[in-house]
Amino acid sequence: MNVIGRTAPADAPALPVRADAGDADAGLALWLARAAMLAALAELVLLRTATRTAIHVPGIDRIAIGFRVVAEAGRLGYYLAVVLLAAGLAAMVVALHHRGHGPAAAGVGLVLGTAIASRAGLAGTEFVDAVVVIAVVGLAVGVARRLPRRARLPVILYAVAFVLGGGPERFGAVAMAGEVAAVGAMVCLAPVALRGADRLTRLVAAAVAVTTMVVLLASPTTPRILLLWNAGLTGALPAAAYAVGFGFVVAAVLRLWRAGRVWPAIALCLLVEAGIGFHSTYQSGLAILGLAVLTLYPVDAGPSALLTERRGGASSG
Amino acid sequence: VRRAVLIGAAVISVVLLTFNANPAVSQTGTLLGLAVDDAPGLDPASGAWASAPETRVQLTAQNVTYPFGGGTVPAVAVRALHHDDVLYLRVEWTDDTVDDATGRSEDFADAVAVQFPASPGSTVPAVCMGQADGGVNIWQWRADREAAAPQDIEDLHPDGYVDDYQETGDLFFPAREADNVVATSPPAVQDMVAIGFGTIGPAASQTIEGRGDRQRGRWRVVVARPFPSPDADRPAFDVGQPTDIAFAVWDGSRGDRDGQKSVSQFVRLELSNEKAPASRGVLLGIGLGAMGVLALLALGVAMFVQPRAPGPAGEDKA
Repeated sequence: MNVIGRTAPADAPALPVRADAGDADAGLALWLARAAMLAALAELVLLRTATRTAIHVPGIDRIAIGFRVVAEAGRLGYYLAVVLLAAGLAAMVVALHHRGHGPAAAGVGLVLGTAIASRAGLAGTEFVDAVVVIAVVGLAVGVARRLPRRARLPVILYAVAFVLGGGPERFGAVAMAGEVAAVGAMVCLAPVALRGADRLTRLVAAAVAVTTMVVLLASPTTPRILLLWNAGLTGALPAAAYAVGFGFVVAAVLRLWRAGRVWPAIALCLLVEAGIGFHSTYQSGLAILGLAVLTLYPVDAGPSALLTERRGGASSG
Repeated sequence: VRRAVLIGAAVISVVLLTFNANPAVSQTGTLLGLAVDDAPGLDPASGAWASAPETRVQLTAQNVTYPFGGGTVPAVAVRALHHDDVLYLRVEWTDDTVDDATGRSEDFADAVAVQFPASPGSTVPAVCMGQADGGVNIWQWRADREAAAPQDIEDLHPDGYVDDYQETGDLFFPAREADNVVATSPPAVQDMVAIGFGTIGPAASQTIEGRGDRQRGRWRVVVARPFPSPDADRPAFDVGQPTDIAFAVWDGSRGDRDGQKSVSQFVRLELSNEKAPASRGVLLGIGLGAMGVLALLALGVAMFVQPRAPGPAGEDKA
């Protein structure tokens, strides 16, 4: 059975699957992850991007009603994403446990519990930060160990960027190293983005890359502030680096999605929505959920299928 | 089941939206405000500040709207205390020059400002002076307003010539006549509100007290206000009710004024009745730093160990 509830195209690589008691748990967890990803996407576009861009419109306070409608829609998306995220993390704990990923299940559960405790005033922010770092690193290591070395880089670099992005210096050398790691993680998606990508995928990815380049060059300030707010990236690297990186990310998501590999595509989207560094337990939760999806995925699809699949064949090592 | 989950999530979301209750917690750094038995007063050198944990907040240039600028002050060190339902904040930063006179048009003052959302909510308003549906309250301290003696115009421009004013009340002083708070009796700290770029103005009443001093090339400024909200445009504070706070610093000798300033993002402000040792921040920093190094080491090792051998589906199940 396809637990994601989506039928793969006829030319997609075969997904070895198994049906057991864990499938129902995994199916619910992955469905919640997809729902949370979509709600978070609405929140990212409407709240984190649209309202923060609209503040530059002169006299925006004179059209406050329109602004408020967009902001409230974004907030609804935010609340929906938070609720689905919490449910998704809880379901993921059960699914990971049933699939034999005990440490991963414990990590996800610890993050969820700590976030709730922090909300209740029972745990400080520093404790939440520490638990999130441990969980991100632990999950990333677990995912990376199932992948061939050349396919590990995106996951490892994302985790490195997350840890460095949470450092004390937002604009210092540590933050710059995190920035390089984050862009490196995106660029390292090139193999999965380019191999077997169809014309539409390439066109969309190219359009995203060109748009990113133009926006960053045309306005050197606001887009970088949005990058910082949305993803924890300072925008200190050349615009071309971000253009290429975002192009590869979009191409990889499309390539995976169109090939029927919906789970890693959803995981990638969740990691992009989460960004790097410490923003809030919401964004940290998105990162944890994305890595948890990647933890579940290789069990069904084969350890090397995540990023190195060959079109029309079994996964390669 | 999925439909029920989705409907339930939607209902919960609408309820949370209605009550503006945010289930998530900010991780952007926390400024912890502790209770003290004796009022620290407005003296930045008061011994009470030694017991308050220090939070270092990063600043960067204001790069969002015209006039861009600032970025010359990398960070501020902030402490918070509360006593008898009054919030005290001390902001400290390095500045090699004292710019506390603005008698000439080319002179600008050193200054610092703290900013709060007008009402703590599920999402913070834009840190850049708020937004249409989310105002901000700003407390700005300026060194020139604190300086005791105003500069004499003849000292500033010894070769200048000034026509006699017709000293007939406020006829030739329109700002004063209009009760402009800056022209009448500018306080060292001004209480202001804004709902976006270009909308900042004085609050309906001036309720902030503050004082600054210099010590070894650093400004230290204390600002204070009672917990209750003066009006809907300004926040109330209370123990156990976190809100957000951001900072801005102006270095006058670098030409900083108005929007040319070094700014931070919002960090979390939590008021607590607890008392913590002053070394808490140092120990915490060492602990988190060590954990970060270990995390990077683990990721480095994971990059190079042999991959787990591919096996049949379900092999990973213990």
